[in-house]
Amino acid sequence: MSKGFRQSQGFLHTWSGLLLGWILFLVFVAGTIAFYREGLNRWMRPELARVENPMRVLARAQTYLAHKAPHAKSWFIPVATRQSAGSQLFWVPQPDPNAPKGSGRRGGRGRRDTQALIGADGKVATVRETRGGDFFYRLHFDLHYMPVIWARWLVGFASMMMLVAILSGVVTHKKIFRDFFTLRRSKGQRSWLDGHNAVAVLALPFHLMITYTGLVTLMALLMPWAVIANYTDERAIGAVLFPTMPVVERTGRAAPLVDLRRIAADAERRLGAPASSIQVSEPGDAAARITVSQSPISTLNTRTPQLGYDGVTGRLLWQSPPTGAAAETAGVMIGLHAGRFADAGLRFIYFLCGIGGTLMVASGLVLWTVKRRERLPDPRHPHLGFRIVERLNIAVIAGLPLGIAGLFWANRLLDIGMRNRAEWEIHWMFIAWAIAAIVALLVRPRIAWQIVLGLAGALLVALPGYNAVLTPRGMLDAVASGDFMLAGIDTAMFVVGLALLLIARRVALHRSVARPGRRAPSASSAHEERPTL
Amino acid sequence: MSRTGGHSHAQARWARRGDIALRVLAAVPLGYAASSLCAMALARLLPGTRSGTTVAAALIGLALCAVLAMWAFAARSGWRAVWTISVAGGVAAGITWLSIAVTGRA
Repeated sequence: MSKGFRQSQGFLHTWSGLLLGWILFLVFVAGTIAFYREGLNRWMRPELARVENPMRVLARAQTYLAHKAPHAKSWFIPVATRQSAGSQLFWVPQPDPNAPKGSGRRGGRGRRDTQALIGADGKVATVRETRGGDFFYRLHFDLHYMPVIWARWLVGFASMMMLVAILSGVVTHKKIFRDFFTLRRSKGQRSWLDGHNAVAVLALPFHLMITYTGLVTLMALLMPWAVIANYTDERAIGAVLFPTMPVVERTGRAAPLVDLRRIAADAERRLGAPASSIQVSEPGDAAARITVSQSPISTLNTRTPQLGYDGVTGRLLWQSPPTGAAAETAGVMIGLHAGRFADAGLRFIYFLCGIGGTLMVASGLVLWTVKRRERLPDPRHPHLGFRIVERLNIAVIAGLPLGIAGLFWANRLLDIGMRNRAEWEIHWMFIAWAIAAIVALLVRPRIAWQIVLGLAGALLVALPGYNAVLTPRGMLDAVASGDFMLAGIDTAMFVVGLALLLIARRVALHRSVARPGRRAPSASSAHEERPTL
Repeated sequence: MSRTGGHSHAQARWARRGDIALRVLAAVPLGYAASSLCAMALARLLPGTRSGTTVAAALIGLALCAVLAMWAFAARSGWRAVWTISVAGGVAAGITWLSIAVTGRA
């Protein structure tokens, strides 16, 4: 490989990595946490008992909907599992013929009056209002406080930069595998570089996979041009890629809906895999139709097969047709990204790789400053660009964990009956994060690292203690009842908190290894010309 | 990066900045436009079903975007990056236009 090529890619690696590194850090942290979205959905609702009998929940969900929304346009019922936080169902009311066209919002997802959470006992659960782990899933690509389309373009752009940073990073390292086995401790810049290389190379296949497949999840938004080249109406390709059972007009003749448990059992037998959700259109009408989707835990492809039934007779009417090799490939890529198929062991590996990616981004950002500090003309008064990066690193790398700790504590401490409680949990994350940013701005960097990391660590370490004492689902209760997901989340918080405390301590004990004699011979343009990294 | 002719440091620095600006132009807006146009051409040309070639072309288009960004910084000069990527996009646009004109869209 030519020297010039490697140098050009080194430059590209440094700057593409730096400019969007802070957004990538957020995306990595949120995505890593979101691997435990389902577990957190339960952890953040400690009132909720674990589902032991999913079919009973399904039966009660049907009873509830038949009573509450007998004439709805459609019902949507997730099939509860032992891992899910009950069954969060919703329904879509019949369109109001008097309402002006286009005024009705699609679906009832966001509307509290058309949704309900059915708990393990089959009753509507009264739990604290929270977005649970779903918040991190959304934060991962929708960010917050901004229109989702802007957010997805921003995240998509950052992901593309990340893909470029990874590919150019690979090119930059002449001896990538030797680098991986090299860790020079307590050597300042070399140690940061070695650490950055180690976490990056260790999980390199994961980083490449997760970045490219992440782009694939946003493909319809980022790369709509292939569709435009082939179709005048993009609904035509939608019908091929996302097939749905043909719709039937409502007849107006009442007819009782078949027992959904029977349909679920039949579908699971035919699919040879668990069902994840049941959708009923025109319930209570002679034209009722039921669609059962196969659970994505059973297959790599995230676009799972569906079966369609007659809602009155329970007869199988329809099976989703295959979508073709390319669509399957895209579906598998999205499946690999989301890891919904992963069992406990593989999920943990996903989580560890996510932490690896988080550390890769964080160490890369810190490395940028470490590298330049030794070459500053006057280390006591660094130039503005250096100071901005240094402070932003503290505000984001240490500040986000503090924000997340704030969110978890808000989940525990905010008044149960509070208005807009779910939204306030999230506000607290950003309030805590803003406090971290203010500290980063006002306090000397070394002290600021210690304050913010120390605070975040202490808050996280204390959470399992609070849970053990003041909720019915502390670590010991969880282990005693065999609920290792909740116990694992408590443990993870404790371990991450402890790690943050240790890093804070390490910063406190750190003595600069920069020796004046080792400073580069000239401080001016010679460095500018030198390729960075 | 490599070409820094000029007599003073300041001049060299500005030449370098201009070069980088050209590469960023080539990598980001032009790179995205060219990979989008290539995706359109591939969607027309690849063998297979209409929906299949469409998805495959979009998958390739995303990867191409990253490759073009790398090329923009690997090219011998910023200008070279700009014109090579523009020509590639132009050729893809021509193929797409011709193909749609001849066989139409669904």
